[in-house]
Amino acid sequence: MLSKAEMEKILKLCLSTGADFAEIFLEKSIGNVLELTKDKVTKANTNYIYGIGLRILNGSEEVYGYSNEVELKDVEELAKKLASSFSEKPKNIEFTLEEAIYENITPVKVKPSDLSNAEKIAFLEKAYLGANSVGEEIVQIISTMSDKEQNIVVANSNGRLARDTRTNIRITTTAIASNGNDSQTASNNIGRNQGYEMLENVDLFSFGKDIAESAIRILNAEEIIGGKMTVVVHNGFGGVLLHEACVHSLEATSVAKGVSVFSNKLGQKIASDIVTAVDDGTLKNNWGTLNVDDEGNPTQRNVLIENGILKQYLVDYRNSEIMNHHITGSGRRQSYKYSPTSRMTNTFFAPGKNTFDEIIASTEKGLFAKKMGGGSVNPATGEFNFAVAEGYLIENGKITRPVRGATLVGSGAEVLMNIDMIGDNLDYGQGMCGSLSGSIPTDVGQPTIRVQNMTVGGRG
Amino acid sequence: MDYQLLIAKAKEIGFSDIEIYVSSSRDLSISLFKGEVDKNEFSNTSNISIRAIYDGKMAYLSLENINEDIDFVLDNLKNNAKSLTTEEEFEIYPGDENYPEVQPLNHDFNKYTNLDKINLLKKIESSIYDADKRIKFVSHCNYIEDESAVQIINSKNLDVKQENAFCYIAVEAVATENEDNQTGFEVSVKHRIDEFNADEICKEVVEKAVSMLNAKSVKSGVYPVIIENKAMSNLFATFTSIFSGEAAIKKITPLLEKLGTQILSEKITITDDPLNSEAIFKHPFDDEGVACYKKDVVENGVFKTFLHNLKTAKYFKAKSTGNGFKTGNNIGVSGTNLIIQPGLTSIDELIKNTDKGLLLTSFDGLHSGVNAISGDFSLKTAGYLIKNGVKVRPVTLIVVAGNFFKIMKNIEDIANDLKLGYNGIGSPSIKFNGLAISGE
Repeated sequence: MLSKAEMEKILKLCLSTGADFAEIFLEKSIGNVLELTKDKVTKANTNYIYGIGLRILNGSEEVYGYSNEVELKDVEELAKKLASSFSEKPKNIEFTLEEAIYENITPVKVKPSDLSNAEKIAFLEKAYLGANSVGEEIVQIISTMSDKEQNIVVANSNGRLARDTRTNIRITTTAIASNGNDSQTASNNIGRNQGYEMLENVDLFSFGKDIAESAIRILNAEEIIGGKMTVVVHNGFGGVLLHEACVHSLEATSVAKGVSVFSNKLGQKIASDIVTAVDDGTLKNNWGTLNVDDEGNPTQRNVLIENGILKQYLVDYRNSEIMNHHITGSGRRQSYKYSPTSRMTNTFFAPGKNTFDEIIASTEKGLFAKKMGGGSVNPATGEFNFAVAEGYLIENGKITRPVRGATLVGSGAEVLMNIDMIGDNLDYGQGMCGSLSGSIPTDVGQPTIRVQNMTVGGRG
Repeated sequence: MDYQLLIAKAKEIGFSDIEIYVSSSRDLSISLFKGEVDKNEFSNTSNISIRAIYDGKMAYLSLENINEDIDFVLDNLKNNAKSLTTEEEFEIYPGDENYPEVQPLNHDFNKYTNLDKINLLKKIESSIYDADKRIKFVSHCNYIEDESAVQIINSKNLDVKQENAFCYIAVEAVATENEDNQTGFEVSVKHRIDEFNADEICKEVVEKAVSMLNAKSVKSGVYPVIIENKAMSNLFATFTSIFSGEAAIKKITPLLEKLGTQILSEKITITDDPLNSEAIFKHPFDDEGVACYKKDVVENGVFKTFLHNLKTAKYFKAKSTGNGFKTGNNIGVSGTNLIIQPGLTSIDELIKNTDKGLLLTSFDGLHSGVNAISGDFSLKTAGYLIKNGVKVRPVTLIVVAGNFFKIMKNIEDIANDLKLGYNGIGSPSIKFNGLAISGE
């Protein structure tokens, strides 16, 4: 790949027509996917990713180009092509690239290349055996192990030079339960920015078994009757509610343009007093953790909402200039094929004072969303939707019957105000978040929370 | 990379067959915000996907560095193939004698300068702002053009090529009134820049955003529902995997052992039409080099055939239907242009014939609120309330739920307004007797 002197040369070429800022992003990644369908290995793939992205900023305008030709002469051509978008006098920006030094918060002991396919398949087999132990109603079990080692170099005309290696390992199991007429699916995954040592102390048999049992419970559940009700959203992946309903609308991507429902609301009350929301890219080895973001800046702990008051947005370099807001280590992208923008890392509600039992016991009637599925939001309207993967009715302070087919809808601004209880049991779940700069690993998290007056859809 | 050398070396070290799928693309993307260029993006990329059979098992590898070492690549493939324990049988295809003809490319991307393209966006953006005072933002205003080429070469002497080119304009506007924000979105995909109708794009976006202003929920209950063509085609898209031979092997389709039986209303015919004249993407052959052809997947409600690639066809002792297309890096199964055939009634008449009901124009959460195996769906939706045959007000923050297979057995009427999307999925508007709506 390019040397430091070559990178400086490219950056200067990018600035030669008057731009304010230039950036190089180099990537070399290897990904492996193994799939086990029941007890047979049905997929063994390897993908290599290799390329460069160049970004030039001039005033409010961005020019981005990418290619997988990374020889110096090819990159020079690309730089000239991008620079030709402007025709001003160069601003003579002086810089020398200085390597960023940081503490490694994503240490890896067992690299993907340290294990054979057979050793990786052995993990999948444990999950299969667990899921298969549950009974005849389980008709299909599909597990995948994916690992990806992403090596990046970022260099920019502010003199920043940073390198990082991200090791994202994820195991996913899906079980399908059927009674002849009807089939239902349950799925779960564990992922971290860490080596294969992350699976050393995980009971994968129970992991698989829990998923299969969940599929059977969903199969035997009744359809929920929709309407407005109190909803208790369980900890861990339940944090997808915060991720979708609120924090997407706090990303500079929509805030800078004034399009978000939370634009121009800093210092204002946007949530109930008990709500504190955090995006923290520094949690050791978490799925959404990074040493440096894809603009080369260290990640940090960002308190977004504190006791209901909006404190800050998630801001990348470009939008920090436009918004006059500090950067928050949030510039992320899927690969060199995307220019970076403000994104989440590990996003969660801070723990509250109530126990899980207290929350359920004090709820007379409502829905307990034990496992959430995915969701989405329109940042301009703030309207969101989520699927409830595994739900139960709460009647007279007790969890009673399983129900299925529930979808939660509402507006982000409203739901934040309607949170009236927060538990003390913070946990995280792993997701892939899709947005402007591609699909990236993010943790969502929360303790159990209770929301009043949500619209729940169903067909019972 | 020397592909013939790769093939020869692969044979030498014991691979029975090998295939190389080379794709390259050139893209240009321009986005505008408030009259200024927000972002201008250029790219030039290629990808080499290789699959090879060793000891009867097929492994896949993809790479972007065209100078990658051949021995290293083959070693990796062999290692992956040896890990497979599947009992499926694999095949590399020697090609067909004849392939359907596709009209040669005739794009005009180079007739226009970058500035012309920027000015086209400026014109669209300013007409949207001018069209209605309630338009607060044009939040997206993008132009994208893409030229791509694919070549498939294999050890059975297949060597086929295809080129593609398309351009599109995507626009989103936000309308505001009484502190209520609503968005309107439109994507127009064409083969040539001179085919764009700027006025039509503006009209669509403004109409969608403004007409949804002050939308409210409705009372929960069972309503007669018309699902508009685009929304219907998005809903249908989430269920098309049920026709896949791959899903049949994995037993994750409800259609196992349903061949020849009535699975949907007899009013429904679904056609896979690779060369449909309206389609943006036409397919003379699939990603395995098998010639594509038109066939009914469902005819008057009766399930006629699964869609197959070479592997799934072999498993079911059938012939590939020319539906082996890449999903990620592997060859999976998908439709070419999968179309629910239109009926005779106009959408206006469908609305006129509805006493009290809903016209649904969009769904959210299609990636999470749908179970393609059971057919269950529970989705956030929006649209309009119909009373006495007239659209009376916009509706949002409601959920529609049901079972796709059950509702498709019991449809009231199909409109004549087939809309084939650029994703290769098409549907007319369809009216259903009663769907569960959750709201107030």
